[in-house]
Amino acid sequence: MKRQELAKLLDVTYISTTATLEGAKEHIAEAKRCEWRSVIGPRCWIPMYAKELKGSSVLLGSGNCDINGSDNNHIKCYTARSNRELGCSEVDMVMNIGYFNSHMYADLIEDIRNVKSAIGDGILKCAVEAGLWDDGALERAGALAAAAGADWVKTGTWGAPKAPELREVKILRRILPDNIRIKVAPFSGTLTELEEFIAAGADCFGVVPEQARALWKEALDF
Amino acid sequence: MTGHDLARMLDGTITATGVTQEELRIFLQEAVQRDFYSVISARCYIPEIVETLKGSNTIPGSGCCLSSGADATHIKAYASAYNVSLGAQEVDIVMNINYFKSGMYKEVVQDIRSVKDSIGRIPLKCIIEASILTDDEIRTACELVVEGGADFLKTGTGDEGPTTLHHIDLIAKVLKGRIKIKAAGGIRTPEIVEQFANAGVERFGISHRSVFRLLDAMDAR
Repeated sequence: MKRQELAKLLDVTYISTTATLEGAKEHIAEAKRCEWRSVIGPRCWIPMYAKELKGSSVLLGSGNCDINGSDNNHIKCYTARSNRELGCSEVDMVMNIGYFNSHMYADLIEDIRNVKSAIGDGILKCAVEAGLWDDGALERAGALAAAAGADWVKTGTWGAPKAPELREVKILRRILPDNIRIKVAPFSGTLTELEEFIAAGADCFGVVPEQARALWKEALDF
Repeated sequence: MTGHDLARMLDGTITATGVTQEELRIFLQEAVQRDFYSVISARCYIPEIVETLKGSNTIPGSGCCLSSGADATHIKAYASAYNVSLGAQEVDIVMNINYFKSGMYKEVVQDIRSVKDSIGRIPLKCIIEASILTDDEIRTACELVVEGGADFLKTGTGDEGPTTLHHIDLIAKVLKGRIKIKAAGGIRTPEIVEQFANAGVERFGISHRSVFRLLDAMDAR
């Protein structure tokens, strides 16, 4: 795989607790240089990211909730709308996992649908935390996210209980409509493994900057 | 200290990924029965918590941000005010650790101050995540939290590591009683509870996974 192809598969995420302003500036500079598909940085610096990425091909994404998706829906929508207004073209949310475990499927769908409405023409990716579920539950989670209007289904968050598996992507690809894309996150494998995920149906990958650099080194420089 | 003594200093938390309505219901029942000071749970359940705790001695609290505290200030302030409008009687926030680690101390203070202003008389507890700070950073964080107007300094979220007696001693020495101390993260034994209380801790944050075992252990001595 060529570097240019790889770059357009990566959502490079720099959101660690100890992330700094200097690190965020380096994140932006690297994204522009490598032309990553998108970046997600600390939410307090969204205006800086939006300003610095203006005119580049790099999309700006953001989260709108905590990693278990359990924020109240009003705040999820408020945050997503605000981030969109500040310049984010994509929002990554987490399905309300407590609702899912409680079989509160109508509430779960409403939670996602309201966020989708809040961001208008923005792109919504919904994490289903696939590592928590058996095959049947993962099918259900993916189908609920799709029914609620998510544009992408994302395998997991930075709090995922285990690394994403090919099995999970194959299940999601089988049950999701063709127009709904799949993001694998958090991805920490090799370029060969990334290509296997693509063959299974993955459309992009959520990676930390160090992982993006490692993949970049592996890819062909032409 | 007895289990009940601890319960009256306790924010019982049930915020783990995937907590169900039924698990929350059982936890709330037990929290009321054991006379917890407060309960903090997933924010989507605040209305149910408020309703269930009505008429009891236990109050509903809430968080308002990510565990890194990196949300935009206006989002933190809005979420805090919203949770209070739903009935939360205390708010826990995380200091913006990204600002702090970047040396943006003015922004750290403004962030805390904006949340405090948004909730008025409601007590605000501000987490500094002591386990990932150096001693010098802890001293600085203490001063910023006081300047920001928080009512409590809270040691950690529990996500980044345990709170130690060294943290508490250092924080108490810097704060000198100007604001209260809430300890959270890795508090598992009666001995730790008593050491922390003797060192100046007035509130404990303990999760549903260990809280009942700890209360029983305190009564069993």
